[in-house]
Amino acid sequence: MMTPVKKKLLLAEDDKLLASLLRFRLEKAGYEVFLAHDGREVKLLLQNGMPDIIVSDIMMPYFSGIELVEYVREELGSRIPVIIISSAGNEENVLSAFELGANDFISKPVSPSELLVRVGRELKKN
Amino acid sequence: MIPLKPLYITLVTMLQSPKIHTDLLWWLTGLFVTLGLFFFIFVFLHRKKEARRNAHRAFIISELSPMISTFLFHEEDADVVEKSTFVHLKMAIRQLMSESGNRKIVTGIFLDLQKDLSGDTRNRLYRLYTDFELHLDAYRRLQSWRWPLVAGAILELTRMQVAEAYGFIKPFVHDKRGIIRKQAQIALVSLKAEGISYFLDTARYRISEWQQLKLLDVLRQKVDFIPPRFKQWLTSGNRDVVLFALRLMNYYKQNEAHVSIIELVKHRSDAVRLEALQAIREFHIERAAPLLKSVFWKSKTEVQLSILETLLSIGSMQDQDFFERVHTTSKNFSVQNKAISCLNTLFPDTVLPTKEIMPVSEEGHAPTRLKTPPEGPVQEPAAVPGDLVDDLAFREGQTGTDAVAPVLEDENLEIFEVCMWETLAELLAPPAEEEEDHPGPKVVNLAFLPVVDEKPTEATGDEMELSEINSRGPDPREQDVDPIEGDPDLKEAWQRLLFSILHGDEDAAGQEAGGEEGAPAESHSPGVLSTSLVGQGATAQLLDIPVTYETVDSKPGNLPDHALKPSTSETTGIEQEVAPAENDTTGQGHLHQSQFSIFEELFKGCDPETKLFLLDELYAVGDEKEICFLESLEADPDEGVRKKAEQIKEALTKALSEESMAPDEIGALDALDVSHWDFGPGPYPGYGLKPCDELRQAPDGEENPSAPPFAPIADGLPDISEARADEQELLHFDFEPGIQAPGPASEAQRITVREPREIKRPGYCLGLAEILNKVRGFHG
Repeated sequence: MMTPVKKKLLLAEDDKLLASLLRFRLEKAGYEVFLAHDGREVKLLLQNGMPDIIVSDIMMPYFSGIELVEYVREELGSRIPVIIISSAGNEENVLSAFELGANDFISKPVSPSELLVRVGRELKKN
Repeated sequence: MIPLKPLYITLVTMLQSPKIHTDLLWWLTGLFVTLGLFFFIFVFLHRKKEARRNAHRAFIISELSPMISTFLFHEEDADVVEKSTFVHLKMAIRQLMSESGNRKIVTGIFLDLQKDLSGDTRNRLYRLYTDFELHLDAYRRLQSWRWPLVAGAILELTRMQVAEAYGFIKPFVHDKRGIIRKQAQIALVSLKAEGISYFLDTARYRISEWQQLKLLDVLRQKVDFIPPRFKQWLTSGNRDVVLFALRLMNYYKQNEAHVSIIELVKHRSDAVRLEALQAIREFHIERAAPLLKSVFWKSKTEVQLSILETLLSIGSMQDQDFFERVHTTSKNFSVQNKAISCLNTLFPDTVLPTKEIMPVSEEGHAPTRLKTPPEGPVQEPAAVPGDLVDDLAFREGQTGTDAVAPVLEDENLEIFEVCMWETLAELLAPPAEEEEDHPGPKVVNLAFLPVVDEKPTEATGDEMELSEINSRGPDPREQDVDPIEGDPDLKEAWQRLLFSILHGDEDAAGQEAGGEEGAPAESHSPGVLSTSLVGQGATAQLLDIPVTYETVDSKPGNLPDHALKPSTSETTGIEQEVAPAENDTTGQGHLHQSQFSIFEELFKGCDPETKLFLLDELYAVGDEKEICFLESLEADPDEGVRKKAEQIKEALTKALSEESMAPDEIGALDALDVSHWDFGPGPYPGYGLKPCDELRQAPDGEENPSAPPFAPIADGLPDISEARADEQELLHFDFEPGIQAPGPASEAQRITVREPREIKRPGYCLGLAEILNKVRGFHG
């Protein structure tokens, strides 16, 4: 019996604890999660191969979530879904991310269950 | 005597540098170097220890995070393998947490995660915290004498929502140490619903504004929180408790303590009074108004302003005197202004601006005759368009010395008329470039008017009159008597001229131009007639358009024979559009039909929605002239307009072709458009009519004005003598009795046939002949 192909998910989050927890939850839900803690790691991972979806914190060292969206959309020319994680009260950055092509956003504190639903919905759209 | 020698020795000693023991210096140098070394070694060791601790923490976090994740997302219905893993992890983590340091690290992890997680995961985190018995450590720290530990423990228990800690934290609400007390207050309110009641009941200390905001925020975020009736704390001896209770009542809209709230307006504390006034406004407690007025005069400015604001909210018509009294007696600028604002809000325009108002004099502009109001109490002006008057005054640049509010006499209509004149003049004024090119009288683009070519004729009596009119001045507004209104002949002539312009009745004008039918006309001796032109049913004196034309025949009955010719653009700036000869659809007229569509101007600058609306109107009133314009719309950028224009063009073409059907087919139509009849040997027999050109043409070539242009055909019709008056009434036309020329186009162009089958009835034919004769200016 063939095992279904896991969807590749790039999780960019500088908070290692939260990243580890979200990774655990996403892997438990059946995704193949690639974890990056800063912008440079994100770039390296993207150069190695494109995931099916990106979940990125908006505030990261070296490379913010907004820059990540711009990089993916304009430099890589990819239309893969990007979900932004933003802290409350950061609406301006979220709007900027949307203008640059982000597909969805989820605010901190994050509900892992909600994140799962949003990821699934974006993947279903694409 | 002063001993000089000792003095000298003393001075010399003071001037010499003291002896320094170099040994002592070396000792001191060695001491400080040693201290420095110790310091650097201490810093080095401390940093190393911190780094080691951080590394250990990172290691523990990396070890614990998967375990915590497993615990957080463990499901009861997991399979056996997962359950086995869960049990092993539980044992491992308990062993790991046996060390005090690790417990602190785990607690830190939990507090971090609590900030970043929400929903069900956060609730699981709270349960895990108590499962690991981390809250017991917090309880132990509550007994510490060090306030940071106690405050930290209370904060930790509050964040992890350990409801069991409520009893332990309760005593700290009355702690003397402010930080612990504030933390305990938040913990009580946060952990249990009754915490707010306990806190308000027992609060003895001040509650700062910031603390009140934090407590309100905690309450706001509480799920399923049923607020107690806060009115019970309005009687508290603690001023801050009363204030906080009032704020909570405002927030939770507890509208049930009107008497207490009104009473609190008399509170000694201004903060409480302000909050009570806010509550009065919020709950619209009208019966507080008398008390507010009585306490007003003893209050501070801030409270007075709030009282005025409250009276504005709850006040009635009886409060006008109070506001006026405040306005006149108060010495505080803010209070005075607030009173004026309240007065003008409750009773609009009670107080008008009087300071630094530009006065308006009577000179320069007749309609802005304004009078100054008498000084004294402010009076309400008549209901005049005040901004209109101001606009006029400021536009004229009139200045004066009396700063008064303008009051207008009974000249509203006159002002309105003048404004309308000005607005229309601005609208009709040509662009600046044209004004520079033609500095003479203002001209209007009349390219849409028909062009009449005819031979030059001698000036008639009317021409002379028109020349005289021209010499009087171009603007009838500047004259006391309108030259056209003053001269009935001219008025009649002008009406007919307008009719021929509006109806595109080129043939009518051309046939009899200069008394010679078919003679080509040329421009000669054009006089500029400065007068008004009817546009789309508007009154004739509205527009100031100089028009040059050839002659105005003064003969009664021949007034439509005016040969109209706009002057050339070289002399007047009027642009002409001469249609080629092959476009003459009549084949017999001497005039060329201008292809100008009035809708072309209307379409300029319109948005697509307006264009679509205009297209509907175009179909309703349009004719052949609109076809070319509709074709030009095929290049319109808006797709909707293009499609609609195409549809309208097809429909209009079809409608026009139906109008030009054979006379026998016209019986099926329900309307006749007289404007399209060319007054030649046209299809009139179909309507039971015949042109009477031969009757009108006398043997000597002169025209017989007594002969009607049209008459009913007797052949093939029932006896004309049997025509009944009621049959003539079948045609309903809107020619007013006594008006020789037909009215506006919208009234005269279209003759409705009520019953198509009546078309060949004698009465109908007589009526139709009468109409056409009237159109031709014959009034037999």
